[in-house]
This record gives sequence, structure tokens and C-alpha cells, in this order.
Amino acid sequence: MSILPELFSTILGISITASLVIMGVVLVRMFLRKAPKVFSYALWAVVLFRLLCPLSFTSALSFLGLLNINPLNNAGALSYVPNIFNPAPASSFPVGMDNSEQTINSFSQSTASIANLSPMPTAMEVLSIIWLLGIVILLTYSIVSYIKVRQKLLPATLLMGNIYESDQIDTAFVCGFIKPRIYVPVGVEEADLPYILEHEETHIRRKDYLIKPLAFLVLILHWFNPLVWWSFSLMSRDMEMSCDECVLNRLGKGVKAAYSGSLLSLSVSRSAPLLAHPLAFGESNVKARIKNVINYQQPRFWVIIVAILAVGLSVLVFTTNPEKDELDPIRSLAWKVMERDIANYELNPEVNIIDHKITRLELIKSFDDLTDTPIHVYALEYRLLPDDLSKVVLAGGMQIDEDGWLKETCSMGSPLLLVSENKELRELAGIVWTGEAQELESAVKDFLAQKASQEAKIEKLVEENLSIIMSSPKEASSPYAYIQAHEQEYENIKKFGGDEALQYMLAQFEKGNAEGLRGFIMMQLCKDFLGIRNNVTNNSLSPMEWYRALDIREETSLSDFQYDGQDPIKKLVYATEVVQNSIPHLGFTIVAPKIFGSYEEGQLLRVFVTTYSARYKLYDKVLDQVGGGVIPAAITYKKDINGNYMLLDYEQSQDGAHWAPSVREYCRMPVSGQEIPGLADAIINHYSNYNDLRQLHFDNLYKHLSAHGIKEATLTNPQGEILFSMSWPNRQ
Amino acid sequence: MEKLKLFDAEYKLAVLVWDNEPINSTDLVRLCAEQLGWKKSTTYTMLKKLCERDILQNREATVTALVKREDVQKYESRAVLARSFDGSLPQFLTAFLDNHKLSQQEAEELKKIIEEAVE
Repeated sequence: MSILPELFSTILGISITASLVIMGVVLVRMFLRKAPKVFSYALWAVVLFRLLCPLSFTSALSFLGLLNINPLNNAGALSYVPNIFNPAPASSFPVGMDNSEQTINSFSQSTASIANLSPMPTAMEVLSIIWLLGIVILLTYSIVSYIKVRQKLLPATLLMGNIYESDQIDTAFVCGFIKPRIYVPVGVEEADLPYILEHEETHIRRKDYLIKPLAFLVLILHWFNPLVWWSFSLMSRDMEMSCDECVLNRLGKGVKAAYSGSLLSLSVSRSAPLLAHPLAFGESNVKARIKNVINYQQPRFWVIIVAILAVGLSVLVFTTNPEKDELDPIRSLAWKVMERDIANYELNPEVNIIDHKITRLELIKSFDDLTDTPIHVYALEYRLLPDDLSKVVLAGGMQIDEDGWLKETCSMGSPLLLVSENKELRELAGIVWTGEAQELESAVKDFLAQKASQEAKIEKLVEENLSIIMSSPKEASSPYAYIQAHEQEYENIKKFGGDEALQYMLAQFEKGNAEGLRGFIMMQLCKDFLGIRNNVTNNSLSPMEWYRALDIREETSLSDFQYDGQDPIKKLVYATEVVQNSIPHLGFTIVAPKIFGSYEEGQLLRVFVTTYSARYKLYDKVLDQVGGGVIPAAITYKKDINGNYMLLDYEQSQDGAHWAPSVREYCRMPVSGQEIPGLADAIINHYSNYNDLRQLHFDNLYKHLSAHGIKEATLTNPQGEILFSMSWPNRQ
Repeated sequence: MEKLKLFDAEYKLAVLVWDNEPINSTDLVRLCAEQLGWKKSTTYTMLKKLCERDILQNREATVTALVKREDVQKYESRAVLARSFDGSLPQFLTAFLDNHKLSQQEAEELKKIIEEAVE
């Protein structure tokens, strides 16, 4: 289902890119007005290429580069298709949730109603279906009308060679793809015939009878683009005119009058004059062609040279994509480093980084012989702009520039990126700091040595445990038996290996060192490590097939939920609950508190809530719930001299048998400790059915994801049922 | 009696029959292939059409004419099929590409242009 919208968005991208090239070609074509038309005709090959081929080459001279458009990583279809056009999410992912802490146990009960709704088709899906429909209609119409023409031409009678005459037509043309024939109307003047035939034979010689239908197929593919229609029309005109000129070159300039006379006589209506077609525009083709024939001069030498240069340059400029900035891949590595820093600042919920800029990214040294691959050292300096500088706690070494931007510096100085160059791939091998009190080369060497010893340790861990797992049983019906026989070793790799073990095993797959049982066990380990980041759902693949299909989902890191309403009590409660439930680097937190009452006594404010909180990680378009729960709490604030409430105490209900008594225990006034009648019962009764909280929770999740520009995200329970999807804003 | 009107292709087939009648239908197919460049199926289709109109007759694989040459006249064809230089493209496209026929007036203008240019 999602292949069609993807295809359409590719075509759309190609079409938009090609539109720019069409405009460029039209401009160059104007410049070539006086030159032989064959040059204008040749130019259209560029457009044809652009419309057909998503791949292209890069060049510093690219026209699109001049327009300052950045190419998508590797495709000729440059990326400016807006996000809303992205295809809809795959509707369900049978992935397990990693409920590491309290499981929200009633998750699966109330979700049937959600899962029954079919997702709304996205705008892109609708448009792509219209696109396909247009293609089908145009193609059917064309094939039918071609068959009709062929049928009418069947009784056309042989004149000579491949030339046939028919009284069913009133103009000459070439028809057929494999053995093209020339058809002329019955009763053409003897004098006109040689010119007409020369013209048509020229078409056949130049393979125009194949080029035009090919161009037409491309037009059908891009039928929604008026510029493509326009260029088809201009291309046809250039084709005819250059064909006319070709005839003049062969027969000599002396035939100009006779030839244009033939063109004319073939075009004069022998029946009642037709009304101008509504679709026709511009000067009549015949008129333009006759004028072109009459004005045609054998081109001067320099005109040809200039025209060849112009066409050659155009081909170079229009068929290539802008050359990627050399620093581009480095820039994205630098961005990763900055992202980490931003995340660090934003651990403090009061800090928001609203802008960033790289002020220096410069290659300062390259080491070719420290490792197998060259290591390049880039100096990185950047600035981050917080919305409120006063909220930022400045640790040692952190600096602010004169405009209130945070500098990249820390106590160890500024970062130096160690980038390893492996063929085309640039990877961040690590970071050293300018403040590390040694000379750069030894710092890099130290770092690499440390890294190598770390890698050796991981290799030893993985390989030793793998060989034990593979050592027995002697006979096994399934590869799982080996894992079951050595759970301890299997767990060792998982427990002590971490992300580095995953990277090591993926590298083994990359090297092809993952066949048979070894491959199978490593695949299981990788799947365990990757969890929801594993995009391959087909469990029947062999290890190498699995690896080839693997495209690890990247985590999109998001901040915690922020209440954007005006209610002062809710503001306090939301902020407190986020802080209480958030765990840095373990996903973003969404809270949904239900407030049962707030009681102020003296300087103290106590608010009674039940909060549905959960932490999520977002991988590509898949949400992973990494923990959460529904817990009643009493939050006590103290009013300070400025009238601000500061958190004084946060008391949660206890687990198990103490649960109800613990709630009753804290349902008291903040100062006097007087019991609040009915409050505890309300909280306890509500806990047995908190559908309202679940609704609020998912509403908040929806709001939060929307606010971060995320348009697709799906959460499923371990049974594969969809619990939440951005496609259903009106969930019940 | 009004003369029977035949299209060009029909007329050419009829001429072949008048010139060679009575003619075996297999021979007619061969003749049509040589002279008109027709496939066997085309010949039979055309033959059947003319037989249905009682212009030709095909009895026991022998073809004869039922009408005289003098009674037949060719259509002044006004049929318009493809107004483009290539029959491979559908007609709406031809219209879009503006290959429409010139009116008498336009033709006169162009004629003048040609004459002036040559002088």
C-alpha cells in the first residue's frame, strides 16, 4: 500500500527538479533561436533524462546548485516534498513493548475499539491514486487510439518500398515502431511527393518515430505537470523544424520555395476550415515551420561552435546535481555532537535551546598511518541560544559570548572531532578536547589506543562466549537449542557487551563473517539488543538476509511534555510530575494528572492527584514505551516570600496491601493534618476505572508529538494491537 | 442510376478483380500482397466487405465482379484520421500540438510570404 505514495513522491520530486531544468532549457533555447534547430532539439534530451532518471551526477557547475537547492543524499530527486506528503505509517507493527517497570496492565483491554478504526488515508495516498488513475486513463486512451489508427491504415495500399497511400488520412506521417512505414494521403501532387518523402525518411533515419512516443510515455508519467506538456509541445516543434532543416541541407537551398510550398499544400484544408482547437496555442505550427524554412541559412561556422558549446554546457549544467559540500558529512557529525550538548542543557526542564549555529568547523590535521583508515581532526566551535539565559546553570569552563549565546567550551576546552575516513563513509571515531594538556598527536594516539583496547575487550567477550554457546549440544534440532543450553554465556554478552558488542557483531555481518550457527546466534543477540530498532519483521530470513534487510531505526530524541495552559495549579502539578517521572536518556515523559483537590492552609498548598505517566522512545515512526504507571500522589508546595510555590514534599501511594491505607493516610490538610472527608474514597474509586486519564494521556502524547512536528507515530502492545497512532487524532 | 462510391483501397481491390476476373481467391491474396502490400487477412476483410455490398462475389474460392467498372466512382475522401506527422500518438495530443489545417485565407498569406522570399 505504501509503495504507491512513495513512488509518487519520487516522481513528484523528479518532476519538480525537471521543471527547473525545463525553464533553464527554455532560456537557452531562446538564446539559440538563430542557430540550427537541431541544437534546440538536442537540448530536450536533457529534460527527457531528468524526467526519467532519478539518479544523476554531481557537479560544481550544477544549475540546481546555482539555485541553492541541496540534493537528497543520493537521488536525483531533490528533496523538497514537504513532510505532509510522506506516506502513511504502516498500520501495525507486531513489536513487543519493553515494559521495564510497572506495566500498565489494562492497556490491552480498552484498545479493541481503537484498533477497529481503519486509518484515514493521507493526502499523499489520495493524490498518488489520482496520479495512477490519470496514467491508466491516458495509457488506455493512447493504446486504443493507436490500435484504431492501425486498423484504419490496414487497407492502405503500397506505393513503393515502405511507402503506403491511404484516403483515410490527409497528411503524411510515419507509423509503426519496429518496421516504420510512411503513409501519405491519396492524391498528393506529384511535385510535392519527393519533399514529403524526404521529410518522413529523415524522421525515420533520425529515429524520431521512436523518440516521440518515448517522450509521450514520459509525459504520461508526469501528466500532472503543465510544464512537461509545454516542453513536449516545444520539443515536437523543434523536432519538425530541425527535420525540415535536415531536408534542406540534403536537397540544397534551392528547394526552399518548393519545399515550403509542399508543406503548405499538405496543410491546406480540403474540407471546411476547422475551428481552432481549444487546446492549441501559439502560432500555427505550419506557419512557423514555413517561416523557418524560408529564413533558414546555412549556419556560419562560429554559430555552430557557439551552439555546440551552449548545448554541451547545458547538458553538463542541467543533468548534474549540485556537488555536495565537502564538509557536509562532517557537518552532520558535528550536529550529533551539538545535539548531545543541547540534550544536556535541556535536562533542566526550564532550559530550552531555541537556536544554534556552527561558528567554526575546520580540518586542522590528518593522520594517515595511525590506524587502517585515515583519521581527520576537525576543530568544532558552535553557539547555542537558550530562551532564558538566567535559567542555565553554568558549570566550570562554560562560557557565554557577548550576544548571550552559549559557547561550545567546557572545562576541557573545545571539542576536536576525530573522523575516520573509510571509502566514502565518514564516521565519528571520537572526541578529544583542546584543553587536554598534551600535544594533539599523542592525544589522538592515546584516544585510539584506548579505543582499540576497549574493542579488543569486546571482541574477546563476544567471541569467547559465542564459541562456548556453539560448542554443544552435539546434535540439535534447532539453533535455539544452543542458546538454551548456554543461557549464561548468552546473557554475558548481553549484559557486559552493550552497544559496543552490538556494533562489533554488526561489523562481523558486514565482513560476511556471520554464516551458519555463528550467524544465527549473533542475529538473535543483535535482535535482542536492537529491540524495536530492528525494522525487519520477517523471522524466516537467514542471518545474512536479515542483515541485508536491516535498517536500524534511529531514535528521535524529544523533550518531556510541557503543559501549555493557564491554570496555575495544573502548571505546578504538570511540572512536578514531569520531574518526578522523567529519567534522563531513557525516553521522553508524558504525564496526565487528574487533580482531585487542592487545599491551601497557611503557607502550604497540597494538591491531590492521580497521574498516568509513561516514558517513550520514538524510533523512526514507531513509539516504544519504556516504562510508566498510574499512581496517586499528594504534592505539597510552600509559598515563598515572592508568592512562588516551591515543591516541599511529594508523597506517592504505596504498593500492594498498603496501597489504600497509604492513600487514606495522606488525604489530610497540609498544616493541621485534618482528614479531608470523601477525598480518599474519590481517589480510590477512580483508580478502578481511569479511562478518563488514559484519554488525557494519549491526548497529551498527541499534542506533544504534534508540537514537535511529528506526523507519524504508532504505539502497539505486545499483541500487535495499535494503542495509539498519530493518524487518529479523534481517538475515543 | 447513381454511381456506387468506393474508398480508394476498395476501388484498387475492385480494379484488380476487373483486370483479372475470374480469379482464384488465393491468387487474389497473392496479387494484393504484391500490388497493394496487403496481408492475407486484410485482403479477406476487404473482400468480404465488398461482397456484402454486392460489388464483388466470392463463390467456391473464385472471385468475380458484380458491377461494371463504369458504374463505380471513387469517394472524394473527406475522412480525417490523423492530422499529425506521426500516427503513433493519440489525436488529442495532435490537437494540443496545433497541427490544425490552415484556412484558405491563411494559406494565401503564406503563399505570398513564400513567393516574396524567393524573389
